Amino acid sequence: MKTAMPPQNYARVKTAWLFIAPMLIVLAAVAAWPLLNTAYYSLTNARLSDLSDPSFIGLRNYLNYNGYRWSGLLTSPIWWKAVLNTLWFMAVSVSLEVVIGFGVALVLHHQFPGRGLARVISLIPWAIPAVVSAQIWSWMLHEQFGIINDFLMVIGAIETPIAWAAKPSTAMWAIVFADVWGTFPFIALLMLAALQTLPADLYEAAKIDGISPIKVFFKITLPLTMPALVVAVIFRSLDALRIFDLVYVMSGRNPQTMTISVFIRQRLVDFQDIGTGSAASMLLFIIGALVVIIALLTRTLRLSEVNES
Amino acid sequence: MVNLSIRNLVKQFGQYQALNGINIEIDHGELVVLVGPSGCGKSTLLRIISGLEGFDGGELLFDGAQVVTKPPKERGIALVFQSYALYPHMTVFQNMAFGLSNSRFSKADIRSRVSKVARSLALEGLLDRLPKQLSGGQRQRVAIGRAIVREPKVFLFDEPLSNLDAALRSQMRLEIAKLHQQLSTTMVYVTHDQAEAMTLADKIVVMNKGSVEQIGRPLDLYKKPVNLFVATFLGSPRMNILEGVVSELRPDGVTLDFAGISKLVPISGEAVKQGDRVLVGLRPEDVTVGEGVGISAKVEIVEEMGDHHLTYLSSISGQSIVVKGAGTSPNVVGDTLSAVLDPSRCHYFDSRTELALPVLS
Repeated sequence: MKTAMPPQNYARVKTAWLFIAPMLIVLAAVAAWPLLNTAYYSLTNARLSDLSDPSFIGLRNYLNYNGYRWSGLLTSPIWWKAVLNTLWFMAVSVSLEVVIGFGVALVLHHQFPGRGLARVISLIPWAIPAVVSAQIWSWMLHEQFGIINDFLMVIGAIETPIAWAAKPSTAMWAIVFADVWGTFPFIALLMLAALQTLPADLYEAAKIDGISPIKVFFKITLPLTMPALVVAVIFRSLDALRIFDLVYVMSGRNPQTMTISVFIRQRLVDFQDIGTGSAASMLLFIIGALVVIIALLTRTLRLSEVNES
Repeated sequence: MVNLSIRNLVKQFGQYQALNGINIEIDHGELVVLVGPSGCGKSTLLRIISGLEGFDGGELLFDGAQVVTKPPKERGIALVFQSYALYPHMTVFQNMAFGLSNSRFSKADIRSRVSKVARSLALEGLLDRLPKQLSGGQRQRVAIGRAIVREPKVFLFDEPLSNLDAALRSQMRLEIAKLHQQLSTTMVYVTHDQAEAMTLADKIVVMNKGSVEQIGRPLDLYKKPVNLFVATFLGSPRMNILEGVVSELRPDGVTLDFAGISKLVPISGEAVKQGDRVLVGLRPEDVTVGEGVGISAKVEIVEEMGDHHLTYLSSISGQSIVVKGAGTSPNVVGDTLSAVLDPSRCHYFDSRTELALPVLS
C-alpha cells in the first residue's frame, strides 16, 4: 500500500534536487550533449569540411547492404583489427599493471629505511605526461641509438639491433611496456591506500596462527582489498580502452598497432569523415559501458554470495 | 602445560627503554595477570612472550628451553587480541578453522574440533555468521574459541574485555575463570583493570614504567604492598594517602603527627628517625566514621551504592579521605565528624623512596 508522503518530505526532496542540479547541468553540458551529438552524427554522412547540412543515412555508417555487397564499419577489417588491438592492449597492460602495481604497493606498505623517498620515486612515471613518456620510450627503444638495444647487445642477449616500435611482433609490446611503466603507480597508490586501511592485528593473528605469507595474501589481503582493486581495474580498463597518445606517438598510424582511438582520429581528421568517426566513437562508448556493467555485475554477484553464506 | 621463565628481559624502542630487566617465573597451569597503567610495558611483554615482538636482552624460556628464535606458531601459544582481530570476510567457522587449515588436521577433524569448541562457548548457532553480524560479547567468544581450537600450551590475553560494556565484562570475566579451571592451561593475562587482576589471577604481576613492582597472590599484594605504587594501584576506591611526620621514637613504635592528630603507630623505630616524613595509607574499608578520637573532617559527597556507600571527607588540614561503609550512609553532606582509624591496619611508606616501612608485629 502506498501512503502519501508527509509534507516536510516534499521540502526535503526539493532541497535534494536543488543540490544535485548544478552537477546534473554540468554533466548534461559536458557529457550528455557531446554524446548525443556524436550519436546523431554517427547516423549522418557529415564531413569535417562541411558540418552545415549533413543528411540522415540511418545505420549505414555501421552496416550497409547495397544489393550485392556489405559495407560499413562492422565489415571493415581495419576496424576489427583496431578493436582486437585495443582489447588485447587493455587485457595485457591492465593485468601487468595490477600485478606490478600491487607488488609495489605491498613493498611500499612495509616499513623500511627510505620508504618515503621510495614512495615519491615510484610515483614519478605517473606524473610524466603520456606523450613525454612515449617519446622517452621511443628514444630508448630506438633501433640505432636506443639504450635498450645497446644494453642488450653489450650483455650479448641480441646480436643485431631490433626495431622494437616498428616490428609487428614487438610494436604492441613496446606500447604495453611504456603504458605499464607510466600507470602502474596509479594502481600502486590506490592499493597502498587500501592496504593501509587493513588492521595490523589481523596480520598478527595470522602470524600467531602460523599462516604462510602466500596464504595470508590470498586469503586475507586480497579479499579485503578487492573493492579497491575492482575500482582500480575499472578505472585502468576504461583508460586503456581509449588509449591514444602512446600509440600515436610511438607508432603513428601503423594498422598493426592501431587502437580504436587512433582509428577514430584517422577517420575524423585524416579522412574528414565525421559520420564513420562518430559511429566508431559510439561503438567505443558501448564497449566501455559493457566493461563497466560486467565489472559491476561480477562485483554485485560476489557481494550477494558473501551475504548469503 | 608449560612453565615460563622471564629473566632480565630488556626491550628497547629506539632510545626508549620499554622493559628494563623483567624477572617473572610462571608455573605451569598458572593464570598470571600482568597489570599496570597504560604505557607500563605489560602489552609489550605479552607480545614478546607471543613471539610477535623480539627483545634486546635477557632470556625467555618455555619449560627451560630458549624460544627466542621460534616463530609464534612453534611456541604453542594462542593470543586473544583486545580488538578480537577476527577476519571480517570469514564466517565464525572459517575464523576458528583458519589456524588449523595449515597443519596436519583433516577436514573432518577440523570440523569436529571447531564444533566441539563452538558448543562449549555457545557459538553453535553462529558458525555461519560473519563477525559484523555478531555482538561484542559474541565476537569476544569467537576470538577465545579461535584460540582454544588450536589447543595451545600457553594462552595469552591482551586486555580481552576492555571493549565490552560493564555488565558483559564481569560475565566474560567469569567465563574466562571457568575456562581456566576446565583447561588448566598456563595463561598470561594483560589488563589495566585492577578488579580483573584481583578476581582472575593466581598470581599478579604489578608493572610500572617498564619494571616489575611486585609479584604475588592477589590478597598478599592487597594486604602487603611493597611500595606506594602497588598500594594505590590495587583496590577501588584507591587507598587514602596522608602525609605525616615522625615526632617521637618509642620502643613500641613511633609517634606520628598527621592530619591534625598524633598517633602511636607500629613502625619499627630502626627504619626512621625523628622528623622523617612518612606516608600513611589506609584503605577506605579500614576507616570508620563516627564518634571517637579520630581525624576531624567534613563530609563533602556521599555516594550510595545500595549494598555499600562511599563518603568523601575533607580533613581540617585539607586532605581528602574516602570511607567505605556497609549499607546506607547515616552521614549528611556538610556534617563534621571524625574518621577513626586503626594504626595496625594502616600501611606506612617512606615519603622519599615510597617503599613500605617495616612494621612491628
